[in-house]
Amino acid sequence: MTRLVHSELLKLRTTRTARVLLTLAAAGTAALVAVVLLLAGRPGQPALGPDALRLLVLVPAQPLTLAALVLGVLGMAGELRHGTATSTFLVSRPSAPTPCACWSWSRPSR
Amino acid sequence: MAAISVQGLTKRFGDVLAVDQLNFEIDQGTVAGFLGPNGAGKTTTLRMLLGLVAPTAGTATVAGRPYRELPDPARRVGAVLEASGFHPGRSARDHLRVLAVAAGIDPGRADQALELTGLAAAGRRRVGGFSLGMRQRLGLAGALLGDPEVLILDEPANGLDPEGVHWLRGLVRGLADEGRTVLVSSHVLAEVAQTVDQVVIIDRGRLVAQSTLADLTAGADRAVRVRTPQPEALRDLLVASGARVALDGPGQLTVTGATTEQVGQAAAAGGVVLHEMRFERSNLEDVFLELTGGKGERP
Repeated sequence: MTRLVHSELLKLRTTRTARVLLTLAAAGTAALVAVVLLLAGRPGQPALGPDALRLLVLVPAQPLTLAALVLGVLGMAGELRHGTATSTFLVSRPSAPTPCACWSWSRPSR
Repeated sequence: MAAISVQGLTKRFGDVLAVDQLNFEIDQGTVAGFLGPNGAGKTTTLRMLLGLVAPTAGTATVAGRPYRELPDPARRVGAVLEASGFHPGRSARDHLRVLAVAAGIDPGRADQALELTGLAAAGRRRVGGFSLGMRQRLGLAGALLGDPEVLILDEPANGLDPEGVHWLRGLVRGLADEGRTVLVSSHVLAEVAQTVDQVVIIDRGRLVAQSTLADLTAGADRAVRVRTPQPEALRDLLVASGARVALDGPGQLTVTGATTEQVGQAAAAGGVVLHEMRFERSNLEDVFLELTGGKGERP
């Protein structure tokens, strides 16, 4: 299982899509934090205190959550679209069937 | 113990019987050609061997076990199924490193596999820009990562240029000489004929023949080609002696059911002048077409 996790992380590190998406998410997070800090104490905005702290924690989590979701969807779709699930399945140790393996298993071909 | 064993293997997709009670065994250290027309069930059989398709009945084992029960499959079996299975945005080297990590193999082995398959110079290029032949080589590099004792190759010559086919032939023979077992499916019969020790021929999911190449072609009809200025006279003489004769063109005959000695004796006895006579062995393609009826995929 550890091998597969390492392999999946390596997959993420070796494609441009993942790098771009994570960079955008990090940039978005930094921008949101900056906005919260810059607006703190302005008219209509809470000063730096418990409320602003909550904003500082919760707001950046949104782009990161979204990025993780998009990465997961793209990764899964890419496995099926490019057929990389099959080669991973073939080289990995026997284990309980994964969704990818089940898809590969049920694929009719002659 | 056979390196590859298929016993009573059957696969049904709905109403389609793709593989029907297939039985064959491949001994260790041999190169076996797995032949059949399109739709014969070759790929389904290979996918069942690799645990990618569940058989309806029967067993398929590699190194004595079903593929999914092999403790370290990448070190026992290398497979090339099709020229896909690569992320186009990932470099060839990274693709192999991903596989190596998943298989528990030293990622440094990726560079050796690239070297072995002639892709060392293209290792850092994205696979999306690869030709079909380069993808085939990359597939082979993936199969060789774990230095496996058994290789299962589905149409590996597809997309390779003549130089690539020549290279593949040498690679497969070299792997067999190291004691590995290779099962290679192909429709490029000439390529298989020069590489394999034995052939397994299937048609409509059923085994048609399993034999060494020499035995397979030895039992088939052979022909004697003759060029003579008196074709009709020679034909009459040969037909009278029980041979089958076809007039191929002006002054040319094809004789089956007679040896060159018999043709020569008949010509001498009848005073027929011969300009040329040669013995033509049936090749694998002739035998293949005869065994499978020369038909491709059927509806």
